[in-house]
Amino acid sequence: MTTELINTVWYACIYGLMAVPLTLSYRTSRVLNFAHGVYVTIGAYIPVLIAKGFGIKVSPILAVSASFMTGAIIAMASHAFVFSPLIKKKSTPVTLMIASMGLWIFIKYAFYAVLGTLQKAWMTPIFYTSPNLEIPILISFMGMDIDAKLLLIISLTSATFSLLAFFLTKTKVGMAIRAIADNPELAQITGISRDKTLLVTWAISGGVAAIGGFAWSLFAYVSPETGDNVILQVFACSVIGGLISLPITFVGSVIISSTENLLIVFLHRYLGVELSFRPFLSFFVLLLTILIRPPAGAGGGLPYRYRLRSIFRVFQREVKKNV
Amino acid sequence: MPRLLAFLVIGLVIGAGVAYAYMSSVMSTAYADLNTTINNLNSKISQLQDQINRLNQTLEYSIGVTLPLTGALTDVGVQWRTVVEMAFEDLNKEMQKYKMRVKFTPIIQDDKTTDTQALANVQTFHQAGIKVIIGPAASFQVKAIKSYVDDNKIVVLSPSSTAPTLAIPDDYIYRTVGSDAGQAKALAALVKSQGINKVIVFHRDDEYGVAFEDFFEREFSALGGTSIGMKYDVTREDFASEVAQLSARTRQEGVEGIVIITFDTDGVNILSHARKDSYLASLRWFSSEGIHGAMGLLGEDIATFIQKTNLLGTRPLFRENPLLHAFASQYRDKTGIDPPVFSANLYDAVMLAGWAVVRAGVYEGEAIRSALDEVAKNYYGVSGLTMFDENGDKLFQDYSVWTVKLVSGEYRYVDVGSYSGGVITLEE
Repeated sequence: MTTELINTVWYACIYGLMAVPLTLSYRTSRVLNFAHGVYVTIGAYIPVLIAKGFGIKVSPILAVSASFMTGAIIAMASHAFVFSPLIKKKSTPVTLMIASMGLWIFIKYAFYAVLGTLQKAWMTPIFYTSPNLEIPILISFMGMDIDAKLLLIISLTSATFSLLAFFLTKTKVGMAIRAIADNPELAQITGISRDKTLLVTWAISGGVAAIGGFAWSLFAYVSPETGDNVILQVFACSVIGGLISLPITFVGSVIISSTENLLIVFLHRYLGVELSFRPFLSFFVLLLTILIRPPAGAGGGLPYRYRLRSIFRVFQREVKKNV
Repeated sequence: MPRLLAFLVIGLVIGAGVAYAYMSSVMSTAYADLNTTINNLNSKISQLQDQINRLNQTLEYSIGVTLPLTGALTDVGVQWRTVVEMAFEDLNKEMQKYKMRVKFTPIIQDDKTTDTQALANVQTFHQAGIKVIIGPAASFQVKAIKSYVDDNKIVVLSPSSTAPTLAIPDDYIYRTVGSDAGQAKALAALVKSQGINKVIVFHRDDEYGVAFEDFFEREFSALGGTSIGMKYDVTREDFASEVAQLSARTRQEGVEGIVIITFDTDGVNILSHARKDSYLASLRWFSSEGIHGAMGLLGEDIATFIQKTNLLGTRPLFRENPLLHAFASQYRDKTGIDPPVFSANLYDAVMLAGWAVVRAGVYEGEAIRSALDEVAKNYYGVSGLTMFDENGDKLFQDYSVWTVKLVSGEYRYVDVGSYSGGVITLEE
């Protein structure tokens, strides 16, 4: 069972790094971004391209920084050239979603073309590969040999989410992002520029999603399809988070990861369920979530924290009445 | 007298008139006949001119090529594109060499390693009037296009579909590679020759994987071995969980070896997880041809695992063919790497398609199919003798034994043995 537990940790971190920025971008911009998968793919490939292009071993710090920067730039460009003009034209959420699908296909095949050209020019295979990183295989800790990559992914996830939490709660721009997410009209009346705030949000979303891609490259090989192949699970995590709550999105990542790595194994071993039922279970959890607790953001409702506050207020009122 | 003279003059005038009328009618018929003859001659001259023009003109034929440039087979798919380009270049050079005014143009489409896109590509080719198609690569894709190409009389040459379930007579599907019924026999013999009696076959849950596992089990049982099938869902990007289950099952069953029936990307992913499992690393590993050519196997971590577990695989290849060596060297010059699995079969598929079109004389599916059988009987290519059996599959298929080894400081695919007449011969 140890391997399954370790896999659960890996997947929880990877899905978390990919899903949390998806929730952040949706709750701020109201764009259900299907191009999110390509930010992941490009983030996964950046360390590979640096390593192959320069013929070097890439340090994890350089890999994370380069992936973040590239993901952020592409996401900002997506906003500046596609979403922002459409938002200004007061396009509907459905139009924005369809535009994101077009963007997804466009970036994906442009990236394929870039990889094909690089493969020919460098005469080295890059279509299904892994980055050459400066990371030892094992690290000795208190007499135990620990997988260095596992340690790195846990540290990376913790650091990313801590920084994100700090940024959103303690900085002016972060608070502006939250204000725009909660009530864009009110935020704009108070002098917050919606467009600039959205641009920063897209940068963070694309950058963190690209870090998610880098995290994937630590775990498995990367291909131009990497982001697409995990995007449905990532959407599932975000939907569990109501497409609003960042912490609950991470809880969603843990739930989907546990379903895919622990629940299916349990069912396989004790009830003889085929392992190929794994996607069925993940999406069964997703359907259950939608049916029992529809995503507040997608339904146009309030974020969870407001729901909890209103429940608390009702509770207080009842208590007062009784007193 | 004057009356007689008058009658004579009148008679002369009437006679002249009648004579003129008669002569003119005769002359006009003759003139009309002459005109018709001249017109006929003109039309014949123009027909001859057309024929001369046509003979002077180069006839251009398009051949559809559907390749997995993206998706699960992207790694080798991209390399196959180079093989296709080389084959068409050589085919057109051959046409020029034999003074044939024919030129073949490949229309290459990406099928994303999916059955739906493969069918869409075939439909596009059909709409463009294309009657010969190279590909698709995977058996599940060939299965998806089969009824469409049969109904529309489009000749398909797949260089890598090997599922025995697609060995069907009198259809429009040809495979320039032997079916897996033969390779399963070779792989079973290889495993047994290594002293392994009980294995788990970890295979793709698709047309290729299921059929291969079925044939392998039959052949391995016939040799006195025990084979346990364990399939995995091919729609995943990552197989960490499946490998964990494989590890648990191998302990539970007490097997001595693992046989993997995979494509390239899934196979590389499986080995990348298996290498972290010390128990799996202590067993012997075997593979079919599906993973051969994947660049991921040449990376330090997986290559070390391959050496540790002494992974051996089989693949359809006639090693002793001098044409193959020349082709491999030409490919290496172009790309810097060795040609991947099925390259020889793909190259020959293009050649056979071209020569079948020339032999047919008309660009029609039925005629090309008849010509293809004849051409293949007499063609000796990079993959050896190309003759088809009654199902349209390569009749004479040899197999080689491959592994990954350190050669001049870098890991490379190396053929270390061969299978012939039920016997495995391994080089020292």
